[in-house]
Amino acid sequence: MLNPSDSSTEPATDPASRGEVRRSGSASEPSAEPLRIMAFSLDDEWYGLEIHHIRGIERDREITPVPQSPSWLAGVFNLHGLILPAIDPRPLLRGSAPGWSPDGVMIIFQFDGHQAALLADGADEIYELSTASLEPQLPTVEPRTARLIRGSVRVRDRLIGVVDLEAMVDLLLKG
Amino acid sequence: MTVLGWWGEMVATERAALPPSVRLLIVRCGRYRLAFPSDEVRGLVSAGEVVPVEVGSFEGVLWREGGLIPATSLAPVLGLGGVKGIGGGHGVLARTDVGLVCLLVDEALDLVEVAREQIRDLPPLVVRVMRLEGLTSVADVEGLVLVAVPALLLGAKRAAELIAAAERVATGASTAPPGWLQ
Repeated sequence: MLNPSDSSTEPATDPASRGEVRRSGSASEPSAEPLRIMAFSLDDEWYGLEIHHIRGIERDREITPVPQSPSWLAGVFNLHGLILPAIDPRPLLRGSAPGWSPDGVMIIFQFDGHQAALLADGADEIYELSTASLEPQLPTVEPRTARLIRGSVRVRDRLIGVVDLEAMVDLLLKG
Repeated sequence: MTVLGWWGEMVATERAALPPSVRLLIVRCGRYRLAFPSDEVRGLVSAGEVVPVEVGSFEGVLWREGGLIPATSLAPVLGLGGVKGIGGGHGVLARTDVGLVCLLVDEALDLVEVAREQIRDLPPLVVRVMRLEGLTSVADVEGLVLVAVPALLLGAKRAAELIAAAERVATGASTAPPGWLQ
């Protein structure tokens, strides 16, 4: 578990970041590959996406709905001439109805040749964490949701579910 | 100019014949804006011209060119409930392999000409999960609009059912009192 007092704030170095980088874990920890995530919110819950998948954050893009498509597909939008899918993760991560708001943010990500936007209420800081800080999912989490989450990290008073993008894209391709 | 063989001439002709722009009929059906290539559309009518028929699973028929054209709402095809009645909106006379079908929409918005480069494919992920044929691209017309081939949206089987149903109505009409379908 992370101790907020261990964190130090540094300027963001990744071009995709719009927030700040917070490091956690002490110097005595083994030098494993750090987990760098951007936290985003869906209603009152926090999730994290590894930043090496993130290509940028957009706002105020008009989304065109697509008929006869799964509930997680909010539609498509034009990003500098590229037509990208806009994905509402609520049905996937929370098992709830779609509910994205035009006031929210669009986190542009790329995975396995697919580029898309994840619609979130807000995007927060970028956290650099020790991989060892990843806690397993609670057994009470619904299996469908649980397989899309690699685990949870606790940062300050937030429990952040780290999204398994590979599992999510696999699910999306299955419709 | 270099003499081209038959095949070369064909290629040259086809390339020359490909117009740099496409005319699109923009319609609205519920929350969806669709664009039908004008080649796929015979015409546009007021939905008020459609005569309601309480036979079969279609809304009514339209008298055109000496025959009856079946009219059906596009809304259920798009997965929309609350089908609007015949009273308002427009009917798009769509070409299908078996004849014309009138697709009822909420409104026809515009007829525009767009450059081919303004039409782009939908992302593969979207095409893969969409449960609808005939919709594979978008055009940038004051925002993205979904480019659709109406005959494919409807499906060959459904089009054939509608045409057959309209023919049955026409057969019945031939024995009905004059003027019942006015």
